[in-house]
Amino acid sequence: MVEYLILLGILSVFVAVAALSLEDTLRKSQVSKVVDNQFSDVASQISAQVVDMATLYPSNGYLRAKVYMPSSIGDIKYIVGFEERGGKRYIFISSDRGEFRKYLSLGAFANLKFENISGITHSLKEKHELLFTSASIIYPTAVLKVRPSAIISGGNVTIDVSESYSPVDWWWVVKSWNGSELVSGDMSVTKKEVRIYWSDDIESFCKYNSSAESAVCELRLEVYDSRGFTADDTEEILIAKKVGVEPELYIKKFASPETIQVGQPFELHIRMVGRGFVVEETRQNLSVVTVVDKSGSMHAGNVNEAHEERTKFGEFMYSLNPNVVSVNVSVQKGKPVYIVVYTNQSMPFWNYSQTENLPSGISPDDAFTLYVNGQEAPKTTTRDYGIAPSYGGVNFECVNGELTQTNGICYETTPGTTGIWNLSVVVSNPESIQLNILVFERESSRNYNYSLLLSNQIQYNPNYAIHNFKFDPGYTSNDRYEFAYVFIPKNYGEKVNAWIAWIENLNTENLNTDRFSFCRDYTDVGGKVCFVQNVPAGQNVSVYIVPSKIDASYVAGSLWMEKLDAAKIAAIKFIRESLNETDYKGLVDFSTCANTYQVNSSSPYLRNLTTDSNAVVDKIKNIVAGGWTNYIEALEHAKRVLTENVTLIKGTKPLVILLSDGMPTCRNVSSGSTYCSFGKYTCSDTACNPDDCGGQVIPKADELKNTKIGDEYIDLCTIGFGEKSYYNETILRAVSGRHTSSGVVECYYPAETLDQLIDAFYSIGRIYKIAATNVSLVDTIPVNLSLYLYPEVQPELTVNGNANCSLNWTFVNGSTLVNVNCSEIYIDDEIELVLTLVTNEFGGGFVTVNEGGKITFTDINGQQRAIDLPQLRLEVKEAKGAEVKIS
Amino acid sequence: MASVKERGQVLILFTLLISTIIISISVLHAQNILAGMETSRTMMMFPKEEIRNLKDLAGIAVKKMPPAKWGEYSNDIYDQIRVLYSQKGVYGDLIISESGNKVILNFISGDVEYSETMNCAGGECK
Repeated sequence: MVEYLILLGILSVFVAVAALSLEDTLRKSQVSKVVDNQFSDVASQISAQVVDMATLYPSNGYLRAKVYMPSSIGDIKYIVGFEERGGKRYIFISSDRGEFRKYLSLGAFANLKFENISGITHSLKEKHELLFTSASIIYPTAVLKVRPSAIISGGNVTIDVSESYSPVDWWWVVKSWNGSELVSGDMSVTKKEVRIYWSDDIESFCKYNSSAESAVCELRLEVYDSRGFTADDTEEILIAKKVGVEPELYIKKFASPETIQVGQPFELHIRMVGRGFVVEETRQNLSVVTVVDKSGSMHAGNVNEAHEERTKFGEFMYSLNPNVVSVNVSVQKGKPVYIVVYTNQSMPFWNYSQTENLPSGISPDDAFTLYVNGQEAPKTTTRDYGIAPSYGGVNFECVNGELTQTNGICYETTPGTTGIWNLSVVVSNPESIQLNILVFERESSRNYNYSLLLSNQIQYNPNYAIHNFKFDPGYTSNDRYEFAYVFIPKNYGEKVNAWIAWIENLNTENLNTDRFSFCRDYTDVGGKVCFVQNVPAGQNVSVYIVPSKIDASYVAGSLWMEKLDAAKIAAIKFIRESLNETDYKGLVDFSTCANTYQVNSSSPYLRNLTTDSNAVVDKIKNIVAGGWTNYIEALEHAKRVLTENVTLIKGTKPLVILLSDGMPTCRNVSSGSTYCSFGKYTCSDTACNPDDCGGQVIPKADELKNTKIGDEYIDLCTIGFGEKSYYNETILRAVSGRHTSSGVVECYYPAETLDQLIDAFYSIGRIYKIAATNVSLVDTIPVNLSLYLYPEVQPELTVNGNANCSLNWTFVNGSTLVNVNCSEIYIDDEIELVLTLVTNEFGGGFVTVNEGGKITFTDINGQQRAIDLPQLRLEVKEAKGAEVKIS
Repeated sequence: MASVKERGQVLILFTLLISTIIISISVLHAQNILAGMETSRTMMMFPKEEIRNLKDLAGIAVKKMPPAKWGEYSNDIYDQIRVLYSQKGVYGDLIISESGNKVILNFISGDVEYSETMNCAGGECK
C-alpha cells in the first residue's frame, strides 16, 4: 500500500510537471505562431483596403468597406485598431489579455493622404468596417458683369451674375453705390435688366466728374449660399447725364473663388472693357457705302424656293397635352365591331385652308385619330353605301377609314376574345366640336345587320399651342414681307397638325381667305412647313399647333423669312442705329449688274453720298432681287461712289460693307453680253471658283482698299450671309481688309440668321469706336503660385468684340510672366485673361496675387497712360483632409 | 485486481490529456493554414475598377451633355448606368444635377459602399 502510494505520488508529480511542460511545448508555442500569422493576415487585409481607399480617394464623399476577421484565434480574443507612434501610423492587433501584440506600418502614404486615421474594433463584434470620409469645401464664387459699362441716366443695363457659383442653393443681391438693393434673384435667374438713374447721392458716393457731368459708381454683388458661406464682387459703371464722355479703358482684376484651399485651383481674371459712348465727338465721321447682293438666291418666290433660300429669325418650343376622349365597350369574340367617330359640325380650319397648301387627299377626316386598347387604328376600312350602318339620319359609309357623308373616321375589326375594349380619340382641330362615338356590332362577318353597342356624344375641347410673331414695320417696300416660313421637324410634325394665319382673319367670315394656310409635310426638308406670302408688317401672325396623336408631348420649330428682307432689316438698322447723322451714307446693289443709287438730290457735286439716313433707307426698302452675283462690278461701283467727290468727304473714314449670300459669278464667254462688267471678267463657267474668279476679284478689291480719300485708305468689310456652303468664304475673307496701326487686318463676318446678320453690321459699326490703342498688359505670377496642371491647362484669353489681341507667357526664375497685347480696344469690347492657379503653401492664411502688374495704353487723345494692376489678397484655408476610421 | 484497475485509470487520464493537446494543436494547425486568406480575398474582391469606371463615366457624361434638356439627358444616363451595373450584380448610379455642375456617384456591392459628389462646373469633374 505504502509502495503504491509513493509510486502514485511520484507519478502525479511527473504528470503534473509533464502536463505543464506539454502545454508550453505543444500548445503555447503553436498558438503563438498561429496568432502571429493570423494577426498578420487581418492587418494585411486592413492595410490592403486602406491602400485601395487611398487609390480611389473620393474627394467629397465616403467609402465604406467590410472587414473580415475570425472572432478568436486559438481561443484568443483580440482587438484591432489604428495607432500613431513616433509620427508613423500603424495597424495594431492585440490579444485582449495583452500577451500577443502585432504592429504593421501603413507607410508614408497614410500620413500624406489622410488627415486622421483612428478607431478600434473587437474580434467578437458581429461586423467590422472601415469608413473613409472626405469633404472638400467648394466656396461660393461671386462674379458681377454689367453691360454696357457706360450708360446715360435712365438707361438700361444688364446685370449678369451667371459666372457666380456655389455647389449648393444660392441667392444674390446687387447693391447700388449707396448700399441700397438694386436687384436680386436666386441661382435660377442670373441675368436681369435694370434701369439706372442719376441720383443726388452720386456726387458723394461715386467718382464724380463735374466737367463731364458723369460719375463712375461701384455696384456690389453679394452671393449667399445655403451653407452660410458668402462671396462678393464689385463692378464699376459709368453713369452720365449726357454723352460727352471720352471713351476709356476699364480694368478689373478678380479671383474666383476669393477663399481658396491649399492645393485647390482658383482662377485669376483680368478683364479690360472699352467703356464710353459712341458720339460724334468721340470718333471720326465715316463715309459708308453699303453694297447689297440682290442676286436671285436672295429671293424665294414660292415654297419650293423657300426650302432653299431663307433666313431664320426665331424659334419656339411648347409642351402639348392632347385632350383624349376615352370610352369602354364590351365586345364578343368573333362578332365584328364597326366603330365610327365623327362630327356633324363644320371644321373651318380644315375646310377653308389655303388650297395651294392642302396636299391632295388631306381632308377634315384626317383630324380624327382612334386608338383601340392603346393601339392606333389603321385607316383601311371601306364600307359601301348599301352595307354601312345608319344612325340619327347619317349613313356611315366609309372609304379607306374616312366617312364620306360627314367628317369622321370608321374602323372595323373582329375581336379575338370576349372582353372590354378601351377606345380613345384625339381630334386635331383648333376649335371645339361636338364629337360622336358610335360602336356597332355584327353577328358575323357575313351578316350586315348592325346592333348599336355604344353611343357617346361629348363636346370636345382641344388643347393646343399658338405661337404668335410679327414682322417689324419700316424695313420693306409697302411694309410687306415676301414670306413667313415655319418649319416643324418631322419628329414633332408627325404628331401634330398646324395652321398659319393672320390673327384678325380668324373669324368665320374670313376663314376662307388665301391668308389661312394648312401646314403640310415635305419629305425633302424632313418636316412640316407653314408658308404664307406677302405678309403685312406689324400684324400678329399665328401658328396653331394642334396635337393629332395621343403621345404628342412637345413641339419645337423655327421661323424663317426671305434673305433679302433680312438683309434690308440689318442694313437699315445699321444705318439708323450705328451711324451718326454726320456720317455719309451711300448704297450700291448688285446682281448681274451693279447699281449705284442717287441718294443726294440737294448737291450736284455729291449725288451718291448723303448724311440723310432716310434717303438711303427708302432705297434699301425697295430693292428687288434677281440675277447673278457680279462682285467686280459691285466693288467698282463702291469705289466710284467714294471717289465721286473726295474733296467734300475729305477727313472722313471711307468704308465699304459688302454683303453677299452666294458665289461670285462671272460672264460665261458663250453667254453673250448680258453680263455687265468693267474690263475683263470672264471665266469658263457661270460659277466662280476661287482660282477662276478670285484672281480677278481680289485685285479689284485691293485696288479699292489702296484708294485714299484724303489721308484715309478705304476699308472693305465683308459679310457672308446664309449657309457657308452657298458662298465663297475664302474670297470674302481675302477681299476684306481694314487699315490699322499694325497693318491691314481681315474684316469678315459670317452670318446665318437674322440676329447674326444684325450683329455683323453692328460689329462693323463698333470697329470705329476706339477706346484705347497699343494696349499692353504685363503681369507676374509669383513663385508661391503655379499654373494649375500646366501645360494641359493653359492661360486663356477671350475677346468679345472687335479687339485684336494676343497672349504669351514666359517662365523666368520660377515666376511666370504673362503678356497681353491689343492693337486696339473698341467701345463695349471685353477682353478677359483667365489664369488657373494653385498654391501649395498655407502662407499664414493669405496669399498675395501678382505684385507689380501693369497695363499701358494710348488713350483716345493720344496720351500714353499706365495703370497699376491691383494686388489681390486671397484668404487661404487649411484643407479638411480625409479620415479613415475602423469600427 | 484493484491496483490494476487504478493503473488503468491513470493510463486513461494520460490518454485523455494527450488527446486533448493533440486535438487543440490540430485546430491551431488548421487555422495556421488559413492565414493569408482574408488578405487575398480582399485584394481580389475590392471593386476598385468598377468605381474608377463610374468616375470616368461621370466625366464623359458631363462632357457630352447637351446644352438644353440636360434634365432628360441626366435621367437617361441615370437609367443606363443602373442597368449597366446591375448586370455585374452590383448597384451603381450617376446623377447629374444643377445643369451639370454637380454629379453624384453611388456604388454598392456586397462588401463596399461608395458615394461621392463631384464638382463638374466648366465641364471638368474634380
